[in-house]
Amino acid sequence: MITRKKIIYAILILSPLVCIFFSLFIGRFPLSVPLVVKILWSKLAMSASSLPDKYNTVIWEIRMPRAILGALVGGSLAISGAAFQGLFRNPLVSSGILGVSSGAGFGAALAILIFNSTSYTYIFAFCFGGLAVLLSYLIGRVYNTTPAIMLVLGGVIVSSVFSALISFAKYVADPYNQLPTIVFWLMGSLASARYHDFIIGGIPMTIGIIGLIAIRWRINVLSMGDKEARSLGIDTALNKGIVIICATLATAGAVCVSGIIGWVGLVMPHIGRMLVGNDNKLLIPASLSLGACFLILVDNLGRVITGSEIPLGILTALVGGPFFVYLLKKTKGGGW
Amino acid sequence: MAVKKIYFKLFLTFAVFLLAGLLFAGCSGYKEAATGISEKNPDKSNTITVRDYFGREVEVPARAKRLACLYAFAGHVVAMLGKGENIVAVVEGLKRDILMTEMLTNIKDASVPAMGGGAVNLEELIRVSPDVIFIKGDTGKNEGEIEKLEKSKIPYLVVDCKNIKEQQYIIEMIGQVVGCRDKAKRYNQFYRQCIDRVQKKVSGIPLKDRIRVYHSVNEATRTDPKDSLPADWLQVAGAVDVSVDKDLKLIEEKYFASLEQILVWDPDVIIVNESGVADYIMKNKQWSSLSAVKNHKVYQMPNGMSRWGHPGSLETPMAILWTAKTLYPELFSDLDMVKETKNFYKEFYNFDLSDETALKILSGEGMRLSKGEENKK
Repeated sequence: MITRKKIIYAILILSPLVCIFFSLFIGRFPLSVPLVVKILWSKLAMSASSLPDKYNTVIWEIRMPRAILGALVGGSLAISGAAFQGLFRNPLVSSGILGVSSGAGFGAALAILIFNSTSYTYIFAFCFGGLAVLLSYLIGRVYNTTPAIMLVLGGVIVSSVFSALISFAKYVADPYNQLPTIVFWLMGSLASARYHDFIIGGIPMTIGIIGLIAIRWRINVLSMGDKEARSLGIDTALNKGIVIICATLATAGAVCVSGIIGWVGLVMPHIGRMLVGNDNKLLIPASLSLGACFLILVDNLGRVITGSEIPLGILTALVGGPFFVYLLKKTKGGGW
Repeated sequence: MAVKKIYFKLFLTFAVFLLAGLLFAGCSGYKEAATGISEKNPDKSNTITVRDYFGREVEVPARAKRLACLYAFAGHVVAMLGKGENIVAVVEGLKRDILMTEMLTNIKDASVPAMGGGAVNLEELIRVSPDVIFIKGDTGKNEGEIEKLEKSKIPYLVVDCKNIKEQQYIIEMIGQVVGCRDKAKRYNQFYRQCIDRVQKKVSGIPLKDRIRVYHSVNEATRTDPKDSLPADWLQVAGAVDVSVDKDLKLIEEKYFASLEQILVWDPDVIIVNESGVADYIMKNKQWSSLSAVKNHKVYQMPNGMSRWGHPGSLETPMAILWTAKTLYPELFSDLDMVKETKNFYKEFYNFDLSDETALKILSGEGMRLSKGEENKK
């Protein structure tokens, strides 16, 4: 049994790395497979590279940060989705559905609007992301008979209000300086990913991810219900708070880096559940790994299908939309 | 009791709507006094027919006196033709061109019917009641906007261009509309002289020896598609525009190249038309392996009335001169850009530039106000 677990963990850690590795071979700049290997090797061996600078730039400055950032974003969205699903005992929610993404997006737009620079976007994105969860949760509690659907409805309301606010922010923004920045932020593209983004976007995502992994067993307890959790000696309010903060941090970081990318957070945890089962101890890392792989794959697909790039959101929605319908049918709108 | 409650609720709803309505009315009311309906409307029977960018035959009042310039380019042309004081409605961008507002004080008070670059507010447009409206090609392709303009019964002209020839045609057409054909012709003559002057020297350069240029438009990765004014004038200036005829990403009528694609092109020279972008390109590691960056051949283009050479810039002839000199300095050693710049604005805008301002224009810095400042003066 222990060996099986070890194998699973090994697969979970390795598969995103494999995806990152393969995405180094895909792109517009013509580089043959042996050449890419050579470029990688020359860097790893620390030998003075005799290869043209451009090759190094393509691999190390363009494809590598993009792949790593893609992995982080996908992982963050999926892991926070899994956490929300466990926390609310509701298979139909994710950070997108609960309005966290739109809230964070609006926060980012508002920060650009007020301060005319992108320095406060993270704080604002986080605060409004958190506000969105809270609102969705409160709306969801208005009518208690079908809590699963009510929470989804609450999220729908909250996220559409925040989407409207985003449009409004775009409308009042200065079309020459602020609007391009806002549009660029919300577009959902990893195309211009730089190492610089790791420093500012990577930190909240990493903190969120580590936090969720660290308390993943408590999500198991919380998902049994408040009474049961309390009887096991768990401070439910505190733990719920920590889970929400971590999941919101991860989502806000992802939104700040790559804009609103829907559906990853909803679909990936379910695929994880099909693979490793319902135990959050395993499900949380599995979602992380799956989300990371999925987003790298989708990003590569978007790069390859046409000469010009297809935005990520389009492809994830095409996969995620039908899947949501399937889930609705399977769960019949109730809980597990 | 219950009935009372319903009445109360109805009353409350009504009150909220009323309040909201008042609020909006209050917001829009301050402009009321700015312009009344003009009594100087030209005689409607006295009209001329012109053909616009889409080839529409449009009947407009001869010597139109109230002009709505919903495309900055049209505003620049009208100002050049000496009819700037007839502009009654503009796009926000025009209010931030320092030269423009310095020359024409009425621009600052002109109405902005399409706030935030968005849809036209029809009532605002009708209130201002221009004789003719100049719109951009994009707006002309937007069915919703066209329907609104049709409703206003005010004739609109699409002014846009895909190349130098079309731009010259449009300049003459606007000249015809505002009753200044001669000046428009004079401008086009100067335009042709600039082209001839440059072509005489660069046309001898074989294609393989021409300098390959990447032209960044506002954002670093935004560039020129084929069949665009910049693509045309860059070719006239003796450059090979690397992005023409290539797969570009189209986002909201703008064309973008991917970073890897730019690395594939590896241009000899990069010219950028927005201040700050040259710095961004020089300092960004992702661009660092380009030969243009390594050889320090990233240049900021001048910015006068408009960004020189921008799609739809009226200063395109000047952009041609500047680019030719920048690319082939040894061929154009006799070309003094400061002198040319001063002559240009004197001749066509009757604007005396100090050497200092001319240099400022050529450096491309500080000729546009940032957001909010347009209302301060």
